[in-house]
Amino acid sequence: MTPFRWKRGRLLADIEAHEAVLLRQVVTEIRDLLSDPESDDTKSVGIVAGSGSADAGAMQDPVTARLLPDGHRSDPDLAEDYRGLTEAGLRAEKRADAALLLQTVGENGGRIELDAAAAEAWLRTINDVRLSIGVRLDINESDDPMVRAEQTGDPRWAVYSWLTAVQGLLVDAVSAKH
Amino acid sequence: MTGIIAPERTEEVVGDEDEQTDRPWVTIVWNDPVNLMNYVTYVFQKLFNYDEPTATKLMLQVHHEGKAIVSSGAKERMESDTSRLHAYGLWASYQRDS
Repeated sequence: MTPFRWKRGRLLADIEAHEAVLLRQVVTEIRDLLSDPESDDTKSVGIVAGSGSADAGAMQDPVTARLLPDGHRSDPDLAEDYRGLTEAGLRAEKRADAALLLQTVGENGGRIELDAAAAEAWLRTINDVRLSIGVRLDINESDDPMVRAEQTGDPRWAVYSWLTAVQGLLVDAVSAKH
Repeated sequence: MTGIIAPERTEEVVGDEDEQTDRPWVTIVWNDPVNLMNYVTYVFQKLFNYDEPTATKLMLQVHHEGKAIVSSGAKERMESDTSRLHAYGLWASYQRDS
């Protein structure tokens, strides 16, 4: 994938086909993970979605708990109020972000063109994917993802590392305009 | 809570004097091992209209001290700020100022 560049108020980049396949996969996983907990959508198994164990409730899943954290840390009633006020909206926003990103990435890769709204959706969604993989890998600040990828042979470290690079480039591009 | 006090947004002045005697509410961002430093700085600018030096200072406080107060004011506004931060994946919560 190339760095992002501005052209006539839009951000452009080019993405390889194999990168597009990977990006679409992890973003689709995030979108499905954040589906309405009341619905019967089947839980997928993969890079982000984890083991796919069906018995764990939505909030027991540590990835969901990280993407939709408690709003208050010491008062369960306030945390419950906050969840009631915000959770459905946050789920819907995050799903919409993922859907918007998927619209901008063709299945065979190629040119990506982002307006301001799509760039924000990319930032939020790629960050959510990184947060999710970080939870699955129990990442900490001293981890070097590239080293861990070699040590463990776990491909999720390489995916994480690549997404970190993509997000870093996008933040730089958006900040330059900001 | 130590050290730096987050800049309070000026429109936060509200009329209810009884409420003012209570401690205000604050929104806190906690450190996590995933969020990129430049991303956190960008989000603080985007959501709170902080200038770049202020946003960077708050980001560094999160990074080095583990947390920072990023806004303060009425409870409903702190709920809203927390949810806007959650939309961007920052690890935020709100509470009464301690």
